[in-house]
Amino acid sequence: MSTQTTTPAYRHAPAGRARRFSLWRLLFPYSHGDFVRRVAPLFPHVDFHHLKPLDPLRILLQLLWMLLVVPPAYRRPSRSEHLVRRSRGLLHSLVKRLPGIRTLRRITDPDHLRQHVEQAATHPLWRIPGVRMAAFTLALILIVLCITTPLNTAYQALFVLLLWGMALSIRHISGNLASLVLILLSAIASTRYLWWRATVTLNWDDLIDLTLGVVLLAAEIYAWLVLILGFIQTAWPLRRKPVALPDDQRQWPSIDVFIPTYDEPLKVVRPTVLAAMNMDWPQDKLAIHLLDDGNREAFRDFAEEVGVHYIARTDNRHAKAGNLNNALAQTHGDLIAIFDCDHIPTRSFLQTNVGWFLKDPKLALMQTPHHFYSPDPFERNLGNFRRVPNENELFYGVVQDGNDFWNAAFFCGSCALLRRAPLEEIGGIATETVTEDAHTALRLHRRGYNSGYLNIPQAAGLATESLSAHVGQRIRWARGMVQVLRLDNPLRGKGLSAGQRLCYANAMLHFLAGLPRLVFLTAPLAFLILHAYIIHAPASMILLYVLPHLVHSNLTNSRLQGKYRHSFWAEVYESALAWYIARPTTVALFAPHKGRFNVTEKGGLVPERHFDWEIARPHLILAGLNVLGILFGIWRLVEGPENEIGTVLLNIGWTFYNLIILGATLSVADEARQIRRSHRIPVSLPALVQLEDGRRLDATTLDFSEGGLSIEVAEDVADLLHSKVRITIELDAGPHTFSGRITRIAGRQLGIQFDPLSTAQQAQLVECIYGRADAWTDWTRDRPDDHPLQAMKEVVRTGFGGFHRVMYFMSPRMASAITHGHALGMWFYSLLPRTPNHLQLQESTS
Amino acid sequence: MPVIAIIDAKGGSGATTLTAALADALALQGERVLAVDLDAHNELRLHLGMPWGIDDGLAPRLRAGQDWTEAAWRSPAGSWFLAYGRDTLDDGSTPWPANADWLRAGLADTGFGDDTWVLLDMPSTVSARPLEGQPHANQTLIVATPEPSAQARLIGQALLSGEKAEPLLVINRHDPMRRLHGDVLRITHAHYGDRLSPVAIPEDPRVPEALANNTNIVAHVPHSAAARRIDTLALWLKTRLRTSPRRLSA
Repeated sequence: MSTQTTTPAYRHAPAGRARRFSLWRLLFPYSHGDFVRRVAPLFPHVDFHHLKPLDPLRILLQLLWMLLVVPPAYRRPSRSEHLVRRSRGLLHSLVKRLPGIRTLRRITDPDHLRQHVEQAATHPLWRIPGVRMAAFTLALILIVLCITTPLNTAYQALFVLLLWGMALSIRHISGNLASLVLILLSAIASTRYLWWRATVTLNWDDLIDLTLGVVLLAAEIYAWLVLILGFIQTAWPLRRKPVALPDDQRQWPSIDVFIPTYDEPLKVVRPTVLAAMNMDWPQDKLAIHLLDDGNREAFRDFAEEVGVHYIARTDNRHAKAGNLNNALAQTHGDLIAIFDCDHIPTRSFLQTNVGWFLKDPKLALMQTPHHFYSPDPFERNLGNFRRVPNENELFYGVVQDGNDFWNAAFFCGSCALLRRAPLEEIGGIATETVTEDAHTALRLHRRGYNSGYLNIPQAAGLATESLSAHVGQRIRWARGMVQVLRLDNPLRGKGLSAGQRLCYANAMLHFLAGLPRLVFLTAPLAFLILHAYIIHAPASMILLYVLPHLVHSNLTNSRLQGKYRHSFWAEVYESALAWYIARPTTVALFAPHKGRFNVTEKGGLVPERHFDWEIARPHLILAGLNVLGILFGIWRLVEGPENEIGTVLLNIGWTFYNLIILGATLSVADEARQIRRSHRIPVSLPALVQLEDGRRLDATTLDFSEGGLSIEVAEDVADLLHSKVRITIELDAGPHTFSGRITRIAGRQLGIQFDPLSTAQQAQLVECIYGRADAWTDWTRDRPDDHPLQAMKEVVRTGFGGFHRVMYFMSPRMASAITHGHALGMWFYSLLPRTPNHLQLQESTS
Repeated sequence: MPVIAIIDAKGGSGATTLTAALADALALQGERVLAVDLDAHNELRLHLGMPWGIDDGLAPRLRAGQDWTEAAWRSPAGSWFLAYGRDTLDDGSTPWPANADWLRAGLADTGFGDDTWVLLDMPSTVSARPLEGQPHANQTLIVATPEPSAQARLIGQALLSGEKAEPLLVINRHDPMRRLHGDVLRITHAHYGDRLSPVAIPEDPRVPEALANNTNIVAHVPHSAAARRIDTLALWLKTRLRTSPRRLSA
């Protein structure tokens, strides 16, 4: 029997020498498709399937260009090039044969190096106290020498190069130890800069120079302090892992879940309560409490309907802290889980976190990250949501894990578990400041209790909606932290370890960044406008000292925090807040008891795109000053003495950088329109869709919103608009089915509007969207890593964009003139000839 | 040569439909497949594109003593099959040779080498005793609907003899929106464990529609949920029987 089928013999294209490019071949008639395939790569700027009116001109120019200037890829290598290639190959093979080159390669292999460095670090020799002391003393002497030795220009340049070369070669070695070495190098570079600034560059002869110079120096000392404390804080992140619970459920503690609310709509609170009820824990050991400070009937009814406890107060003393303390007095569970009313927990929250409480009896607090599934105003207005990490992610991704190493993880008010006994011992949640959470953690630490941090997002919420609300929230945090600094200074008092003191101090210092940032944004103007030598040194020396400080700190921070913070963006965030933070923190520093509690506003809408002039005003003034500074600078270049040119250029460069950062902060004030009532949350789950006629389609969910979802189906559908569907989503616990109507069809993507959902169905929906244990774990999967140069490019683009936007809102006509000019330029550019697509051409001719 | 016997837990569960769809799914995955109809109703061929009026097949050729391997057809999707054919003798006896190894022996000299997947569309429902002359199978795949009656039939059945492995099970015509089906699926999973297919084949009107078009769901609507589940089922069978035999022989 003939079971073999014939497969068409595969015809191979004749293999031969690569054909040389010739115009004749190009113009020779092929079949149309073949022609396009072969010719198109030569004209990368022409779309042969959709020709435009001016394409003949483009083709003509390109042909002329190719005739006159033969593109290098199609040229035979010239004799000299040939020679260079040959000799390079020869050198390579010679070097390979050199004795010892293999060993050298092996030794410089990063993994090999890491192994050796780590072996050296754990050598038993270091356990001898005398050796340790001697080594530390020697290192300390060397570091002090590195920092304080004055060098002339040439030697300083050599020192900079050496330091830089070391950092670059160490950068390739993975592991914490290499990070520590990088931190040390960076600390040396920065401290040397600061030492030089303090000892050499102050002009004691001129009062104005001296005053402004000292102001700048103070700001720099602050920045140095934050940098060094930050290094200490994040040098060795603990990266704690969950601990499994015992099999015997009788050993599991009983838990009270507190969900405090004040004036948020039920719509926001409902999913949180439903998700909390769905958390995996023995039902007789889990009690959910809705703490309503608004004393609202609808909330009482809702609590009764779903079967959770409702606790209300007659007064609102001490706001959220008071609300929690009130509930604390009425409940008895071993542990307390706290969720802000818009932080929706996953079902695995308790299972993942409680294990540590059983393992460590002194553990009083377990914090998890606050995860936001909606963009904050920065991300929304800059359009970089999920591409560039936000401020929040730096804190929860790096800082808290670093704190945890020093047993100093802070309580952040929500998404956390507390042990009742220690909390009652310190008198409940602290009520003296507006950041009750950090203060409570500080008190627990003073009593000798431990805190933990588990960097697995297991609850998610809405970010603040508008820039003004965001600024308001940060002002509150800043004021609160400074209040804690004044009322319960972590640097003094009993019970804290040195590491804990430093971590708390850094957290509080962090919020004092406003004033120094304003100093940096205006410092170059002191020279450009007032002609004050605030750094009394030649421009070349300034560069030689400041560049290592900037480069090393950026390099090191990029390595330590690259996943959670992209270079230069932090400056944008900080600058946008600087003006607003500066005043309240200064007030709180001197009068800590002044200050109100303002609830962070969430769930609001931005009805139409507008520019928030009020928020942007200080930045506009700063930008105006900087533009003035540049004009002064140009005047000084033209009119000023020749020996000042270097300094002027340096200051203009600095001003330019400041302008870019300010431009980016101005972009943030362009409040993008936000009309969606509920956010779309990307969720990718397999689903089965049943149509009215019984057909079943495979689908994948794309995103959920409150009233519906969008899916991508596996087969083509047409004529189904407005028809009824039922959609089944399989979760581990079983399938959930929702019915609805198709409201939108775009190719294979369908939008589905749910029919009204019962409470049980709402709970199922909450489970699908927020409740899954893996709901937020791969949130940052597609995010690019930090590339400082790339980040710089983006910040520059955003900075220019910011000024363009300001112009648009000030005078649309002027902005549109710029847009048209830009378009015209692009159009001219599109006519220019360019390098043919070499790879495609090779493919099509071979 | 992996031989899989596909059998209904209870009449009408869809073993024939699934055999044809599975054969085409395996063929589309690049495997060499031979589906063999051992059921006198002679319906398998209709799921694989053979016109109604052709009577040739396994049974008439066996009765006439002819070379039955010459009766193999190829479906448009690329799987090979042997129809039962119209049996010339209608005395209730089976046409099979007494030696249970007749199928393997007969295929030995043909192009169906050791890398061929043989799917047997079995004539009756699950029972304790094998039929007379029924070929040896390496593996049995039972097709059941998620109804309690089919479940009752399944539980406590003795294993089919001549097998090296315990039977596998797949649930067909599943409606994920019916609570009963979900419960039955859970109970079945508790009984069968990992011998239950990880996917259930959903009920879909396009499955009978495909037969009306002289084909099966995999060839007819390859992206439908049912066809994709059958594709997964084919993959699962391949991993269950360790590895693709083609790889082994290569």
